[in-house]
Amino acid sequence: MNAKYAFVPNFVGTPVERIEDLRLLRGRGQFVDDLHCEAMLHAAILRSSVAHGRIRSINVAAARAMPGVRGIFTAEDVVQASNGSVPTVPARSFPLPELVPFEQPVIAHTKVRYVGEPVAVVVADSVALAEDALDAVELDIEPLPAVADWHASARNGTLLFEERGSNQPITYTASKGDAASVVAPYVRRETFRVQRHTAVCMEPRGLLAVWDGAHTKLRVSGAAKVPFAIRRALAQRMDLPEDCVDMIESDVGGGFGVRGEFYPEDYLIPFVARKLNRPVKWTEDRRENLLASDHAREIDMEIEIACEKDGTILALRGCAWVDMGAYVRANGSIQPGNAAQFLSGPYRVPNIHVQSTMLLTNKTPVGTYRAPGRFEADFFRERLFDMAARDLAIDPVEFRRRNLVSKEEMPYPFATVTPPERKEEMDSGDYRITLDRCLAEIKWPEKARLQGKLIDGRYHGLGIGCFIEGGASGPRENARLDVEPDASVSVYVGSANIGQGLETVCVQIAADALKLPMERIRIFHGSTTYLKEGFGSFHSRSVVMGGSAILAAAENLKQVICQAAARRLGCAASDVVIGEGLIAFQSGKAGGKSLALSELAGEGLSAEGTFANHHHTTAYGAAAAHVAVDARTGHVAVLEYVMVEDLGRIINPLTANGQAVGAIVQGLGGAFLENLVYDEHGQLLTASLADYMLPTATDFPSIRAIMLENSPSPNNPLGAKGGGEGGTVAVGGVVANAVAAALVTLGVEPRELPLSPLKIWHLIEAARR
Amino acid sequence: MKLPAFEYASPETLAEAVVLLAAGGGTAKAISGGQSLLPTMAFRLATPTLLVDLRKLPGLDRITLGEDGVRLGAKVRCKA
Repeated sequence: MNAKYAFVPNFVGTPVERIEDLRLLRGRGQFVDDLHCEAMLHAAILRSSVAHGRIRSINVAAARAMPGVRGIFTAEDVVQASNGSVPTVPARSFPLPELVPFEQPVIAHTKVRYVGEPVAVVVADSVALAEDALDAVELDIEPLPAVADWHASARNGTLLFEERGSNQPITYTASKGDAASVVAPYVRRETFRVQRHTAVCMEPRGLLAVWDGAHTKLRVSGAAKVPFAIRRALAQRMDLPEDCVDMIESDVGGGFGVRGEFYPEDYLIPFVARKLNRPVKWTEDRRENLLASDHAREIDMEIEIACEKDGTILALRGCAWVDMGAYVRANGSIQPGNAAQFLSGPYRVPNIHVQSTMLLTNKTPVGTYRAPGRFEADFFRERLFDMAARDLAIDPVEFRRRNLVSKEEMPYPFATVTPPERKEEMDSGDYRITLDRCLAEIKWPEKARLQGKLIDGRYHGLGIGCFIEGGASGPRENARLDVEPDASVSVYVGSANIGQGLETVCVQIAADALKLPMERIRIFHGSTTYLKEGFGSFHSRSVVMGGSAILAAAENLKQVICQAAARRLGCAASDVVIGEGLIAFQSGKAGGKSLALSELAGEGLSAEGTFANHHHTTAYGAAAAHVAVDARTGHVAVLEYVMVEDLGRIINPLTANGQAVGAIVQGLGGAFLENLVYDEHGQLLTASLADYMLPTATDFPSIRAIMLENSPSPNNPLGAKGGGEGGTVAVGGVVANAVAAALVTLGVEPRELPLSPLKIWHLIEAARR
Repeated sequence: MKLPAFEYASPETLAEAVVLLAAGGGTAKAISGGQSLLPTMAFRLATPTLLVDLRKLPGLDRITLGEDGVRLGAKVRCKA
């Protein structure tokens, strides 16, 4: 335990069952599509079927005359209402003036730039009638050549924004030391690629907007992830004061970074609700979900490693090309920056120079998806490490052990990314412990003899990788605790629930801090109606930041109770101590009297708390896989996958394990199955779940996650480190290394994901020739 | 992804079904389980004006053993 903070656990650290589950399993969840209100209308969105083109005309006359249609809106209506221009989707993370010209208009105006871009909104009495009317809108688009990949984008032959003169909004640089002047006895340069894929939330996005003209109040249900940030963006674009907009969080069926950012629909649905003065609901269908929600991950990177002959890394140098899709959306800055900054992972790399360039293409815009940039970078780095270790005849485990940052070097800096300047460092940890534990768990020493062995028609291989997971984004988080008349305590927190078990974990933290049973605590989160300000759930921050804010509020509440008890008991507040159950005891000379919380509950006791922090947490670990590759079909069976991660402080081992295993499965999906494939015309070929393959229960049956808490974070009172993404980070590199190890006798080196049977088969055939 | 408007018929004889499908002039479609047709309609890739439900038709759900082999009727289910 670190010296700065003292925290005595009780519920924290125990595998409490999720308090959310009883309600959800009984079908009493309230997802946004479950919401209905009087006079509610339904919206459907006409989306461009052309990847790149100029809008000649939109004729809505026939559609407007269709049965049940209440209104049809195009960019012209938006322009009229917004002082002559179409509002855009603002950058939330690391905004820069250079990126502003490439922001997405909330509705296509003059040009369309990807298949799925909103062109018109139809509002009708039912979704089916709205979709009928969509078919009747006459949309005339003059097609332009489509920029279908980053190579075409880089040539600037066809421009998405003609007036800008370039398809490259910005290049980020990650830099540390002097990588250019490093001369090393060993260098190797390789090019790698991760395919476009994304989070496919079980519940698609949805919104219900209710406009109350009499009170100038807009109420939007369906908020997730960052409701306060969305409120600010929406209020500005609707020309409303922020306090006239309420964003309401309902149950959310998965976030993963994709759900809950500001999208075009987050403007369009409230806009049409205000126009029609009727409640309007929109639910994204699966086809829209795959076309319109953020894509992610598509990146090529050429990197060079420079080492001593003993494997000591001297430098990493490289270039990354990020296929951004058609616009720079809310989180467009994250993946390119992260892929460069976290390329070095948990390793000691004194010299780094990596450039990461955004390239626009006529495809769906990208955003953040669980472990953004990190999943990709780890695949590149861990693959390159195995190649280097083999060249240098060093055991791959030993190569990693030699280069892991040691406990004594903490805090250890990553490369700094610019612009704007992003400095990052690892906070604490003993990285060799997780590596050794992972090797022991998968029985590496015993299984090493299987490396490359052909057994019953399948080649066996083991792969390993080490990783770090960033968490705890600032700038701060807020909480408020209210003592209710029945002597229960209501906890309000600015973190948002996206299905990760936030309610349970926050109640555990509050129960310990207040020394109350969990049943006497109720949790309210996310919605903008609860607190003045909140920051939500992303970057594995919700528990670290929200939980720490709850601790601060609990301390303040105890002071409030002391003061109230002192007034009642006629003594000084300093003579009151708070015991279990928030009972106030009078101490000192006239001691002996006490007040139960129920006796003070009528006084409306309340306290706020804030936790402000700019220091991120770095959870860390290692993962290993044992695979068997069928050389006849190229199929890879993952026989075992083990991850060991140190989370600093585990609030709830059950939910932490659920997060870890789920994160690993998503990573395996990205490594083997999931692929958003476009043709040369910019048409998405995988716009249904019949074409876009998600992992199912039978694909990867043997997954284990082992969570440790050896190294509490010094940067928050819980000692916790964000834990929602670590499982995903390492997967691509680990399984690709295992495949390479299995096929070592054939000389197969995967350099691209996904590791689909066809791709592996081609690699094997090419190696044999 | 909602279904477009269509007419629906549930004939009780094969002859009736054939008449309905023929009268549709190519815009009528036979439906049994709907596992492929209904998603196709929801995507608005198919917009038949009439769906002729084969559910009530007799005699198509038998497996018969003959001299020339096994005959599976068009409505035989996996769970026979």
